[in-house]
Amino acid sequence: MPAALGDVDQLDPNANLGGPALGQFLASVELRAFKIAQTALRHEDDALDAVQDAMLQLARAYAHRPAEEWRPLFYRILENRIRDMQRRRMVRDRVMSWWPFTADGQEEPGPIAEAAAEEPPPVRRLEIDEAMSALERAVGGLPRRQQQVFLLRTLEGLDVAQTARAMGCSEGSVKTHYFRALRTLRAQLGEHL
Amino acid sequence: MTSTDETMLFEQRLRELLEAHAQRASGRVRSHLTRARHAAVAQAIPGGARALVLRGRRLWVPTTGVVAAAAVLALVMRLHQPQPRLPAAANAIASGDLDLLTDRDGLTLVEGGDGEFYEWAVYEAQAQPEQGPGGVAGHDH
Repeated sequence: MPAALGDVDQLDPNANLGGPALGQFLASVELRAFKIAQTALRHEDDALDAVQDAMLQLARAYAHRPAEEWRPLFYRILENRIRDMQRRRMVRDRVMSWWPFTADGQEEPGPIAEAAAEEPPPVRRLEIDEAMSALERAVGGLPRRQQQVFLLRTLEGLDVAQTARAMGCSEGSVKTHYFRALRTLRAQLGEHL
Repeated sequence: MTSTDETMLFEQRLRELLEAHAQRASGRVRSHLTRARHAAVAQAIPGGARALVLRGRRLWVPTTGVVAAAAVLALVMRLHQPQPRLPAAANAIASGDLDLLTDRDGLTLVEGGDGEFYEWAVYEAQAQPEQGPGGVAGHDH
């Protein structure tokens, strides 16, 4: 089971020579990173690829950096990767719009692969599913920058400065995007939450 | 409850919802993420074997030394590969062409303006149209 939010803060900054500390950090962020990538890309395999690339890039280029820098760096890499994939997909979609045959790249998962590791009780699961569907629709409808700022702040728990570093923008922009995202979501999700 | 309190409560609910949903990833997703994490950690260890995880498959890439050795071996094999040989006829033609190009007599004929030779050659060709390529069949000179 991945570490809970905030576990990375307990990492020893001096124990960052690859190995256990990096593994612990990656385990603490991988599921939320996947969720962020999936919300942005709306494709499971693409989201897995983006997170995998971000992990490898962080390990390759920044494993020697202090552990407290890993989180904003990791999300900065992930953000760039998501943007690259979205651009590539736009080009691909333009090309494929001329192609008479279509193919869905999504593999059909088996029942074992589909099974979640830890399931809440059915009633609670239904509530989460309904609320989450509404939230996903609402978050998916946000402008991209608002969407990413919202997910980094709310889901990943980055503060304003860390989010600004991860997004490559100013702290003022982060505050503006976050405020607008919250306002939109509150207006749309009032009855679900 | 103030507007700020309501906003904070809303944020808290969103956070709990997203966290609960994120933790409900399928076994396939968790498995893929675990492999990717292990590959990244292996990559961060200096001199260790490096792993690439591609869509659920793991490819172990040998260390740099093994790759370099393979490259050197491939280069040596390429250098010792026998060169393609031309057939004997092609060799003969090639050497004949070379002889023509390096033949100083031919150049002497052109440069010296030796028109007599060409006049003789034209005469011979016109006078003996019935002869074969040998040009001497049935004639005694």
